[in-house]
Amino acid sequence: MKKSSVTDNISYGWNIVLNIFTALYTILCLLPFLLVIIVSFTDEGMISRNGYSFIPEALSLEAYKSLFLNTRSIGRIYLVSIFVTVVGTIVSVLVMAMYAYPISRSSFRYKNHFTFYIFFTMLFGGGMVPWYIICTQVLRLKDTVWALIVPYLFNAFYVIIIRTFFKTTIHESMIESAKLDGAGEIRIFTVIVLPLSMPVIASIGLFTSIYYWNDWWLSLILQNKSEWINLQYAMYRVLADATYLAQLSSGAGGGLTQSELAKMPTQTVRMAMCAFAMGPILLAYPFFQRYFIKGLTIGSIKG
Amino acid sequence: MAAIEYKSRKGKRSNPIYNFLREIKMNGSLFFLLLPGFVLVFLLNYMPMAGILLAFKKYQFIDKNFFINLFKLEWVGLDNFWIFFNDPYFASALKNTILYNIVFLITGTIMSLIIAIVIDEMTNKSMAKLYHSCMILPYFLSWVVFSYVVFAFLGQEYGYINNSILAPLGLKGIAWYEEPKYWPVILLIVNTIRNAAYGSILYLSAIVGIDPEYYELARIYGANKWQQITRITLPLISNVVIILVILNVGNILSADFGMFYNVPLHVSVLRHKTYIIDVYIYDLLKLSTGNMIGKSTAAGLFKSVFGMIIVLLSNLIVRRVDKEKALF
Repeated sequence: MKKSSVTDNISYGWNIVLNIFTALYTILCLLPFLLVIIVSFTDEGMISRNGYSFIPEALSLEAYKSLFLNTRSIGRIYLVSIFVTVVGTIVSVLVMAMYAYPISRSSFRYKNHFTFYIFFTMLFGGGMVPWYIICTQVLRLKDTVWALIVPYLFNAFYVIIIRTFFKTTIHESMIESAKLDGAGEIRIFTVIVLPLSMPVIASIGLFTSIYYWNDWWLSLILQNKSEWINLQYAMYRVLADATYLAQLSSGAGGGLTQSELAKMPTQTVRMAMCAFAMGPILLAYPFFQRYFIKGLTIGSIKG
Repeated sequence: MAAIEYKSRKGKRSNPIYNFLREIKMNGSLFFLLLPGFVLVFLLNYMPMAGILLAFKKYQFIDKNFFINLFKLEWVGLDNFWIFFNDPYFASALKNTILYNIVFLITGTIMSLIIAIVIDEMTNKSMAKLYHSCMILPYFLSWVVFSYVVFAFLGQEYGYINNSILAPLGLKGIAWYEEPKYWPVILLIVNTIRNAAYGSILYLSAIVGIDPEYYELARIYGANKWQQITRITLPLISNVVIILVILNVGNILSADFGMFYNVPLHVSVLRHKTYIIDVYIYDLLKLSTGNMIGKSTAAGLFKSVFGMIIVLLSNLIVRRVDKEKALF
């Protein structure tokens, strides 16, 4: 809003040039994803003739049909992704906000100790291998659904962001007066602090849910059997190994018979899976866009 | 007598454990709130730090309990480190990690700045905002999705580029996934599409925060738009740019695992152009027979220690530039 006077604006011609530049770059950013969606609706026969194309000669819903037919294995994979995202986000935001509250209180004697305790993990870690051994041998997470949730529950950087928000928006005097009225710390946290901090909770919650939804790494490293794999990991396997899709569909719990498998439009089914993985984010983005963008600017406040 | 009693009581008071227990008794509910996070960080961040010892030991399975096992293992000094220092794969992973990070940092910063300035200068603000939101969208899609998108364009048989661009021009299709030489450019484009617009958010907010009086004064003295950008906008946000660049230099040893693992589809032919330290460690872990555990822990420890030193150094430099912006 800094340019209130008209004279400051760039010339009409330049504005058009800039518009074209940005429009082209925006198309460059979005078009690739559109190709995947279009391919998922293309007739399989057209693909083997013309390759992937933006303007398919024949459309078809075969890919989605065979995905839905395949509810026993692929349906389960979606459910795992949804379960992990929902449970992970709720628990994670709660645990992080709970940790952030005491270290945001200036009257809490050990606030610096507990802040350093998490801050140090941002600087130094044991590395991937010791982490893996602890997860498998000590915490016994391997091949359980918790393997997809527990490792991402606590993000030190997010906790520092939430703490900074608590510190700057909730005054100690407000907490003191609530205490005089007889409220305990937990009551203050749930009734006063959390409702007042919805902007930061929403942003962090959104980022956390995207992190869970987009994750394939935990399935890759902590799942051996295919029981608890999520959508992203299944997609990764399908692209890396063309036979994996058939394995998923025919193996234990798969719903397809041999003849159905042979007819399965592999090329388009893959892209339909990808469209499904993008779907929730594409649909949610226009509505939550300001929270998506705010996440970063909140993060820029010094902790 | 009284003096001694007083002294001992005082000693008890300043005893840190006593103080801590008293605080728990008084503010128990605060500790209750801290507990779940505290336990999680202990289990997932501090316990693995004990596993660092594996880097100096010869790994084998002796006891079911990890810690007893760790204790009983035979010390081998720095053997694990020499093994990977002499591994040509490690050398190429290290080189790639650093080179990619430098190139990404330079191109990413320049692209982000261009986007921020262009979006800020556009006169139709609502369109500018729409463009900006659309550009940021790819940042929120996973690397697996990106690997599909890249495959849709570069796949040899059905890929868009081979079929719809090269074929109509009468050119032969290129086996993209077999030619390492194209991959630095491909990864650079992918990285820009995913991250540049997202990176511009901070720059844009810095530009919007500039006092309009600077521009008004410049206009009175007859500065044109280009001069305003180069003489006012860029110098005034240079602090933000410098700080973000230095902080990113701190992460020079960690490249984006998701991108380097997924987008080239782990084709081994592409390896010498797409291998990075984290993927190297992961590959060692996957072969986790016998002493590979020690070797990969050692490689991870090397990365952690040098990463920390670089972060601390770069933070020191940020403190010199602008104390407020330093991480700590």
